[in-house]
Amino acid sequence: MISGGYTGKILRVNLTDKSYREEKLSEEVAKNYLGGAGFGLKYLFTEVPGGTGALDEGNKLIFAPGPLTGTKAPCASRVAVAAKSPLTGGAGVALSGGFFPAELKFAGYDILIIEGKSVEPVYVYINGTNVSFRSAKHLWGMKTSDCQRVIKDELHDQNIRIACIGPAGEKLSYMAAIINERHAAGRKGLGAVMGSKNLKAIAVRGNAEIAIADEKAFSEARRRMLQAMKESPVVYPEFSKHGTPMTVDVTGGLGIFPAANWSRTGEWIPFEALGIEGNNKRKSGREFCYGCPVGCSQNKLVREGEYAGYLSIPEFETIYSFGGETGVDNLDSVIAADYLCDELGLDSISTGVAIGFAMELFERGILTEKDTDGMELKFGNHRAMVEMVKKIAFRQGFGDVLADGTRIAAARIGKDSEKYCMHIKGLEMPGYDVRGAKAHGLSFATAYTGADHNRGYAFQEIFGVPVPYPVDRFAIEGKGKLTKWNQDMRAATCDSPLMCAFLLDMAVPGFAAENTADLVSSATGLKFTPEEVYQIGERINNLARVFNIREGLRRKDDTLPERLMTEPLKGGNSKGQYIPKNDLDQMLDEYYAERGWNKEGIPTRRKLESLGLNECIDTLEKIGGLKID
Amino acid sequence: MINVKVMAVLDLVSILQKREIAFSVEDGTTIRGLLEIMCSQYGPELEKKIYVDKDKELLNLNLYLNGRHIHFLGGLDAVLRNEDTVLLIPYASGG
Repeated sequence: MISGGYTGKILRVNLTDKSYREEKLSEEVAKNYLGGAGFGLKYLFTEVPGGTGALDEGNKLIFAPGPLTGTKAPCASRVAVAAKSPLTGGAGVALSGGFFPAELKFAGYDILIIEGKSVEPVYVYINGTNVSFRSAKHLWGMKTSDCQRVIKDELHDQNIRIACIGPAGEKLSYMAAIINERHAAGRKGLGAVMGSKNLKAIAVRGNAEIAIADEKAFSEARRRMLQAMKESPVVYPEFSKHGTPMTVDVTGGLGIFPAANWSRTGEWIPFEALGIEGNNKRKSGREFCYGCPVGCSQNKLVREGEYAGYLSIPEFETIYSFGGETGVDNLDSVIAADYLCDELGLDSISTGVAIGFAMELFERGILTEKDTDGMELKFGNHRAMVEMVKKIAFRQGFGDVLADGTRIAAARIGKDSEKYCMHIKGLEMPGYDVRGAKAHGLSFATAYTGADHNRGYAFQEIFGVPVPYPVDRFAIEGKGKLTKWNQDMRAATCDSPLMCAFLLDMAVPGFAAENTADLVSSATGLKFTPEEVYQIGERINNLARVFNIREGLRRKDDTLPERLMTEPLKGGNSKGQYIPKNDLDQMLDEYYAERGWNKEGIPTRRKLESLGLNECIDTLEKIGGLKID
Repeated sequence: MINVKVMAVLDLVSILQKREIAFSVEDGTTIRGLLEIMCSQYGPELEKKIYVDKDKELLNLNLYLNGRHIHFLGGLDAVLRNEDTVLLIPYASGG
């Protein structure tokens, strides 16, 4: 019986008729899907019919913290947001930290399901069990920080927590994010889903405490995790001081920090400008998410020059997307672009990659100044880059061409531009040139959300962590098995409880499933073994796979951008590496076999039955022309 | 003699005062031998950064030879060849 961790309640909000109701969280759903991404995907699969347009009224936007969110478990500060993604057309899940996630739990909810569409701009105010719908006409058009400030003022509560969209979400950019404070549920265009519902913001206030089923066991599990964090050679000595930007130096060293839309990876490595050296010069304090003793978010302030005054927290991915990807080595402009993404509500990864893509087209003469509103959109032009962020958010001029991501931009531009598109399933590539990290590549190719580093991060290849075993980053053999482990472990121990994913490889890689089982069992009163925890990850990935199959995605979509399969790296410590189509096929075959899927990547009946996913079998049987083994 | 290049990142750069350093070493030198030469040149600060303890068997960082982790190349006993690149990456994370 659930006796802690979970609040036991789901809040369902309908924007069409401005109604809401509470539902009970079933123990079966809790036991099978744990929370967070698991809950989001379960409800998305069950309630959003196949073929629903991502921006249609029938799509749902689901916020799901986890059973550990809001408890004293370290670094359990996060929420999963799920919806059908406008960028990929498949299952979209994005995670965010900060304080909004815990506040949603304190308000009393394990899941918030937003459905329908308001006729006029609205925001939803959840104050404990009281829910009200308020006009957002006066907020429409506002930057995210202004929106949050105004709502706090009008509700006379400076401690309220708010998730909102910026102008990009209002204008339905497929790259729009959902922002709380300066944290983003950034990827897959979930901000556009929110905008399509005319929902500007969700304001949450709660005062409930999260019960703990077995305080003694929970304290012991918590102590073990804190001890592991303390003993880690990375968590406090390095990560707490430098945050994610140190990965610029690591990937640069490995020769996989992407450069100039991945055309010059390994040949141009801006260590000094974009690595910790440049970042440390601009440090201005750090921030902590709820219940986090680490504080990896490093504020960076531009103190002089044309970008003076800009303050933001550019993570590694943003430094890649607005730095290496665009050929820009001006960190001040990266900070400015990052600030603009937060304020205008854009995913910084997709936005930077879209701009880098356009820059390559410009360099190749496929685009000219006539197309780009007179801008010389060359690699390294930081002023044009910063300007483009604004144009994309407001869909102004050439910004409108890029506003829905690289795949749609290429279709609009034509002229064979698709071959310079760095995306998988429509989602722009994160900052790892996978030609020199093959499991990373396989995970990007197969992740249910597209090119997503957060669904199966191969930390073995990037940081040399030898868990579950040492991995040769250049090899292709064994990468199917490893990728399954990374994806399932990540879904089970990070995306669903919900725990900050950085802890998986830095502190608890050797006992991640045990750690989750101990914390969640003692918090909730439900009993989870480590094996059951791992299986939950497998269940989540299979459910998401069937969701995507229902939406028409197949093996052909488990692929890589053409450049990565045809152009060996020309310099750096991964020189000569690439992933020819045959190698990708070999890895895919191994991956599908490890997963118990057939050669086409369709989960077999046996696999789905073993996971209790009978509804997925029914779904597959209804799809014409599909071979189910 | 053979020529090898050592490349370092993160806080190793401040210890070595360079990101890339060229070394001429005896033919047949192993990675272990190269690290000894480096430690004798740069002192205990580097030694502490490279090894977990004085036994000098357990490493405090990741080492790559021509981009490949030395775990797959014979570890510290891997023999260097002319024009090899040895990459030193202190433990890091967070991407």
